[in-house]
Amino acid sequence: MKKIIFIAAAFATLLASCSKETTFDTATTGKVKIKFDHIAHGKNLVLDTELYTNNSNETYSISMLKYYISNIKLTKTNGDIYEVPQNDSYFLVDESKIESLQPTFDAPEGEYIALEFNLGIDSNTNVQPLEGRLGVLDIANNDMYWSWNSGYIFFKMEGSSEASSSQDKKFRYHIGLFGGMNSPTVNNNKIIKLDLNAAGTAKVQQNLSADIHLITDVGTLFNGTTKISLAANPTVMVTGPNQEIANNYATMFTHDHTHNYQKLDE
Amino acid sequence: MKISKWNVLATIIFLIVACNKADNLEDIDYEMTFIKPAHFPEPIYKLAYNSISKAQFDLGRKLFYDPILSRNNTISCGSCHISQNAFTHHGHDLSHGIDDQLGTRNTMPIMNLAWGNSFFWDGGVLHLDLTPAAPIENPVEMDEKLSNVIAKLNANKDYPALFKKAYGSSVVTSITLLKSLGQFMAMLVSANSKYDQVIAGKATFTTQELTGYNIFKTQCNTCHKEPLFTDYSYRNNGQALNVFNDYGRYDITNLEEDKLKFKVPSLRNLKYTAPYMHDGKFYTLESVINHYRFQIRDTQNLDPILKEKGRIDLSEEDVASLTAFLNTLNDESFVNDKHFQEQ
Repeated sequence: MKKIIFIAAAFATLLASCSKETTFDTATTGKVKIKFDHIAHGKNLVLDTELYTNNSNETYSISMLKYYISNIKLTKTNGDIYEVPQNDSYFLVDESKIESLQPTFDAPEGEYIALEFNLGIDSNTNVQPLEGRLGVLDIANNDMYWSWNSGYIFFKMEGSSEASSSQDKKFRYHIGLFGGMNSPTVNNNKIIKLDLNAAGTAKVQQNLSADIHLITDVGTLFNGTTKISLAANPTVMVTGPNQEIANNYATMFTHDHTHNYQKLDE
Repeated sequence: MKISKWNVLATIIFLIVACNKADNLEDIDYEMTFIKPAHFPEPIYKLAYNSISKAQFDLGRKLFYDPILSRNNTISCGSCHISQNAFTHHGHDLSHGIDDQLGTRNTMPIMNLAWGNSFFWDGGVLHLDLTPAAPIENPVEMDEKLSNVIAKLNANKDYPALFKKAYGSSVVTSITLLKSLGQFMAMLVSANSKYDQVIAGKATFTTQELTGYNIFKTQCNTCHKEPLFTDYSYRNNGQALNVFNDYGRYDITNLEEDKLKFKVPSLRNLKYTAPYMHDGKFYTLESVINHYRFQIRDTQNLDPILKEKGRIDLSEEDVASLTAFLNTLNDESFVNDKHFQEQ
């Protein structure tokens, strides 16, 4: 009998802990991690060695994939928006650097139902003086800056394809342009908004991490609203269909799932 | 007092030593203060407290003249921006850089850049501090990576100590490197021409110069606005598209309305800066004036002022007067200032 009571008590405790509403202390912060998992046309992205085929039936490999994300915002269940302090929210996602694929930042405890970030670097940051250009914004260290048309390159994808019409059979997509300082010009910054409700909200708690896992299909660069072909446009930088490419890749992010209450690796 | 032989000898030795020392300004003390000329507007580039330390200035100048900034250590900023030519590449229509490769544009002078709101013929760079990155990384100019320049400077036997002296840290970063060059360029102020002295009431124009000044004010001053002699706008002044298909400002903005527009250059120091215009096609001042008199092409986006006028109507006498006035904009003390020259 004693044993039964004990088991019942144990079950009760378990049930209680399962149904217990987590309480958040908004005065403290926890970690948020955005995990970028890159694929291309549904196939896991591996630099250099794997082959991919776009909807122009062009087969290619990818040697480089880098892009900036910045100005991160999280929306709580009650609609409040938390903006990550701007200087803490510039990240350069680089497929060749594992640590760069999981931008991590602090956010107040709470449940978040939407994630927003800028894919690129906003205009103000592009025209800021030298002093603020540190870390991933350092114009010397990241190969993501045009010195002659001063502005950051937001997105770079390079690779090889027999279908490429360039002499060296390579393709190079360097997309930037921030809208100009005086007269309005092309602005390829893209605000990405992802609803987290369907695949799992992010619950942020002190000393733990909410890992928002995004599956990112870079094949959308070719297979988007405007079909981009390696034969027609092997090199696109400040001229050519740079806006079309940016519009295409702006749709590449899908929220796959969220792992809440993850231990932090020390 | 009887002057002994030894005294005289000692004085002579002292003088020789002093002369030798003074030849290298890195060894003597002076303060570098940015002085806004009274008749100039407020500068856009702000030096902290309007002055830079001697260590910072010396470092900026040393970097400006050091070919370490180029891929094969052969080309410095000063290679194409020659101080005696108001920091242009005198005699070259197009600048040639590393391995004697030719660019597609004429070197611009470096003077009064503290008042600039954008840089280069197409205005592609928006801060003076960021300008050095363009020639350093241009494949036909210095063809080097900024990151590699920084690595070379950090490995150099002299530079870490000089950066420490100037900026408190011996680790060279893109910020301290570019700041050094930016500050040095900001200090290159040319405001001591005869024109400036006339404005300050310290000199007077000759009759011909004054006639030329009045012609200038009615015919040229809209774009080449006093006292900097540029309004920093981009305009098509009626030159045909050149063999490089150089559309100027359009290359930066991709706006149709910017095709064939180039930065209005200053008219200061024309004596030292020939040839003229973005591709250096004009070797003489006379040929430039004749362009406005006889050769304006009605190409896309021709400046409305020129479009309306068709040409600038000047008699031979007007040309002589205008030329006399333009010659009052030459600033000999600027091009001869030892502080700005290679040590």
